[in-house]
Amino acid sequence: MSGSVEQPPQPANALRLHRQLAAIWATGPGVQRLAAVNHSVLGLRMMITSFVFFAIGGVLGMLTRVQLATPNSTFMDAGTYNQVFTMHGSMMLFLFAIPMVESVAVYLTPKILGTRDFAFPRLTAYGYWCYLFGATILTVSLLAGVAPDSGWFMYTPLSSNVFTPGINADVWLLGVTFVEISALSLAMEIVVSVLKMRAPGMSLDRMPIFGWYILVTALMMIVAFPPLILGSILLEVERAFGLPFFDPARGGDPLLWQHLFWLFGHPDVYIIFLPMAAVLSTIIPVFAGRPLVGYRAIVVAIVALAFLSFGIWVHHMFTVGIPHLALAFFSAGSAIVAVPTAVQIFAWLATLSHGRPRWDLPMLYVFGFFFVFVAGGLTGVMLAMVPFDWQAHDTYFVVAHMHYVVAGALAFPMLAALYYWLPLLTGRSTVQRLSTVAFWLVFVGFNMTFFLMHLTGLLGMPRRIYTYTGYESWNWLNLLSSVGSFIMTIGFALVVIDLVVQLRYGRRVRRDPWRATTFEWAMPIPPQPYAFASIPHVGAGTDRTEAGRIALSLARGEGYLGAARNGWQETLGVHMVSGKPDQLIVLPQPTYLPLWTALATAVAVLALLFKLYPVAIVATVVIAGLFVLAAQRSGHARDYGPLPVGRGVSVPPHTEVAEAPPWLALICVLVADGTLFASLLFGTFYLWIAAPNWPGGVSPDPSRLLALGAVAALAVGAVASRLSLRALAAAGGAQGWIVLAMLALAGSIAALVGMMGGVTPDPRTHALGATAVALLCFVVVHAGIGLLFLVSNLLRLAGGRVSPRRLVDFRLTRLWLDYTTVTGVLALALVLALPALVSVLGARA
Amino acid sequence: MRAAIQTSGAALLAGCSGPFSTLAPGGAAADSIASLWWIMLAGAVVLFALVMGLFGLVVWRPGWGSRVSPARWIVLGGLVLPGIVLLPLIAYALVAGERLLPLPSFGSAVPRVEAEGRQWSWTFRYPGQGGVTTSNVLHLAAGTPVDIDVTSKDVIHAFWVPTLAGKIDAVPGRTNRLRVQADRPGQYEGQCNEFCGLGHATMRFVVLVHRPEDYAAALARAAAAEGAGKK
Amino acid sequence: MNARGHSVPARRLWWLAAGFTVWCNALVLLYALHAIGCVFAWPAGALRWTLVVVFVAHLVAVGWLWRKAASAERGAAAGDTGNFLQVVIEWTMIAAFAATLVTFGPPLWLTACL
Repeated sequence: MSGSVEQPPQPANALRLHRQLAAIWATGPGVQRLAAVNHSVLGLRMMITSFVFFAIGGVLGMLTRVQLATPNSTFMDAGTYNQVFTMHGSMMLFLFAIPMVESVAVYLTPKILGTRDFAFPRLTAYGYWCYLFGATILTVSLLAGVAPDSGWFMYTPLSSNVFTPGINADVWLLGVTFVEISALSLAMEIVVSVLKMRAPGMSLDRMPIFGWYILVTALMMIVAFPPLILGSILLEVERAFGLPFFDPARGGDPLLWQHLFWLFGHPDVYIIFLPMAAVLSTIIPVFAGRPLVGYRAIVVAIVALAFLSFGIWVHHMFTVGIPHLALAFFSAGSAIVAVPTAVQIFAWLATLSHGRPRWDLPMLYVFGFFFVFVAGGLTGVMLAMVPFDWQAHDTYFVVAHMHYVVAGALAFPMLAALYYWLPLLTGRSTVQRLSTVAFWLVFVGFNMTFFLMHLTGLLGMPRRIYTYTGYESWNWLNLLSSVGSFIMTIGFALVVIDLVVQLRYGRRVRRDPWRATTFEWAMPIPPQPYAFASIPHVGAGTDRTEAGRIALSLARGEGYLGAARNGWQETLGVHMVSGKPDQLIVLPQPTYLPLWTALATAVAVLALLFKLYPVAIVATVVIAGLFVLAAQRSGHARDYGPLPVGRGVSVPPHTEVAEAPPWLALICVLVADGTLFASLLFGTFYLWIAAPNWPGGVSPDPSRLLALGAVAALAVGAVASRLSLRALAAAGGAQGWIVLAMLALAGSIAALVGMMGGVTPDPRTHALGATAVALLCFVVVHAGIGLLFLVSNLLRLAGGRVSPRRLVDFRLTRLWLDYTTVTGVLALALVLALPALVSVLGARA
Repeated sequence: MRAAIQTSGAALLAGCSGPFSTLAPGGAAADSIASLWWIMLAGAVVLFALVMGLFGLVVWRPGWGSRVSPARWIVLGGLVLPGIVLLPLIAYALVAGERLLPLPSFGSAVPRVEAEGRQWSWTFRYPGQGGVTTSNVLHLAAGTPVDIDVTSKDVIHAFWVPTLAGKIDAVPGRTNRLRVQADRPGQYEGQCNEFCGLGHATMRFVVLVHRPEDYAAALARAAAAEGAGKK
Repeated sequence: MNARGHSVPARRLWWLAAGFTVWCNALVLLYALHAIGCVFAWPAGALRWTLVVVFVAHLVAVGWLWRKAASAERGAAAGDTGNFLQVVIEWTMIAAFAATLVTFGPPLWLTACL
């Protein structure tokens, strides 16, 4: 069986269904647009926003090329140049690349997986606003001339308050962290959605490969961002409050920053690459006219890449003085990362070889990708070789390599994707000639700019210098690179013109112009806010059925959920592995709440930036309140039991099942948070073993009594929360247990704050004290969030939003408090162990 | 314009030379790394041509390679090909890297020089030569391996003389050791290779390599002249 | 048709990560032990042998996982989805085993602390 054409066609109710669903799902006009939570709307906004930052970042890149075109240029002074290149890198990586791939994921994933929206639409909106506001703060700093200027990886001590006393580095630390909140929240949402929200019957082996790529990418984000967020927090604390973590004179170590940064930074390359590979693995089979070859091999390759990419961060640090033996682990690891990449490349080649390739515009960009990415991969293997890196590190060879693998391997598939999916977005086809010219300009310009940089680097030009004198034999190479960059820019400008022309004059296309088999084409184009009028069923042959053929049947409501009910925004949740429907997910309506929460977050960030700490505290309280408020509005006020969802299937609403999206989301949160905690533990041990000037003069003397009290209180809280859950499940009174848990958490916070007050040595004088405070703070913050969970439980209990069947809230609280207790015990154990750790340091060589 | 093209052509042909060129080695370490580069370049050109050739064939000659089963495509191209390239390369690079390490020598001790970076200059101190210091000029004796102990007074810098050896970072609070040897007397150029703020671009230094028999005297003269200059 | 692969529980997905988690663990342990050994000036031989033991232990661990994955239920009973996961998990184990061997084996021959 294929597609969803099973029932006999009903009288043409497609239009009626469209009107009903559109009324339920549509975002309102005018100012109500700010309340949008729909993935199509937000995905598109995010895409456009990211392209705006791409343009700004591109202009900054052009400025650097103007400056470097000739020796002794007086176009910019060193200070300006440092801001420009720092912002070029930061913008391209944090404000363009990551949001762009996320926007593609947000826009396309639900459609490709055959569902109506993501699991947490309000979180999508919050993520978008955080991104927009954070990015705006960074951009405004550039206009104000106080942009970050320590390079996009912000190495300490250059970025510390001693050597960068102004606001510049704070803008980076706070702005980028703000944007990362957005990336993290979207990543969690993507993971939950891909696992739980697919078309019924879409078991993992039938999931379009796009879903696998996006799932793994989102999982990588969840693990990759926390180390950098931790690093940014610690560095900001060092800058703002003087607690040393990176200052070598006070027991910190600048290399700790590098470890935390690259623990994020290296996987980030693959976080950018994998969604582009997803695009290629989706497009190439369409143009080869056959299903993708080596589906299983590619899944294995994606998993391998995800892990390997985390284990090779030190290859950015080959010259910092780590022993050769340790470098060799990372060198070999960096080399074998090429294997899963090669598996994908040859799977694509095999797909083309076994199909009947037809040539169209997206394939031109696929060619561009192959050319650029293979070249970049080869130089990557070269740089993985330790001795060669000792020469090439931080030269223009690295600049060239990085642009081949990040810029080229992003830009060409991105444009391939753009031309492939534009008919979906706009309902019109491209104007061929202009697009082809644009491609060749971008391609020639790109290679001219960056290929020559390999040689420039081998001739010894370091990156990040704002000028050179002219005798170094770099003149012609730089001039040609600059000319190339202008050609590339003209190419990109043509792409923009092409888009405008297409929007205006493009031929209207019917559905599924490429004869693709993925579900995003099984809908009227451009897509409606509800995406599918009814949700398709996936059978054995669906991956070979042209999507356009089932579109009409879906529009008539012949799939699942082909009718409006209660004004609910309904979609289906499925079993993670088999794809069997197991719950009816009712999504929230458009709301301004995400906007207000993001605005409050922006106020908090700005207050930290301008050192208005009382304002920051108030804003944080407001944010917490808004989150609790958001929780109050979720779910249902009564039990429904199984509801029919079409095709003879009945499932309960998501509020009444165990494996509900919020449950999985909390697991994702804990994975991210656990990574942050592990990074903090790593940081503590790292400073212990590696930092100069350890131990400090005063030895630590933590209070065992307070530590014990704090742990006991946390444990009481966790137990009380369990008992509250049990009481609720038995329809008994849970309030008493919740209040007990709250009192216990408050007690643990008091004990921990007491411990912080007594930390020796003074946290401002030595990293030993500073790390102890950081560990204690971690526990306090988690206990505090636990309190919020409990407050929310009380409110929802009072509002009748929980019941013996609707237990999810209480299960979330229990999990959070268990986690808080476990991490609390570990953190306090480490604090108590610090005196012993310090005493063994006497035995050092 | 034509002159410009000719000049650029000549520049590209002369190509590999230049005061900071890693491809015009003047010492054992730089020489070893340059060899590694040329080997890798040759391999990379072959592999690049191979993959792009395959891409061209499968796209423009429909059906080409369809007799090779998909599994074989993936195993041969994705596993075997990288395997036979990468494993020997890793082994070669590990051995090459090992030879560049500042291993303790069994005979005479390797002379040391202490290099300290600061925003934005270099100070070199010569413990074996009475602890004299020079600024922004490093004096070495030809044909003798020397260990440079590199550190920093403020932010992270990197010590790099491309024609002699790879680079090593100057990290505050730590001392990193780099072994350098210049084969012939002459003047070489060094620079800071880690972004260190406003003066990063101009944080250069000169390496003067003397004949071994002239070394002590030349260094003493230079140090004295600098001392006099300061007064 | 709705029953296909239904027997595969969701927790089976964790197995996709198992092999490479051991790889990551090996990396962290080897890197940490090496650093500790160098800082506390362990004798070169003792340090090297410690690392070799850790390396071999992880190799054995991945090998064991591989065997365990290979011996899982297969065939019609597991369904298409079950068989798919089975094959993919087994190959991640093989990949993790090879990665462990190549990443951590050769470096152990090098000079310890320079």
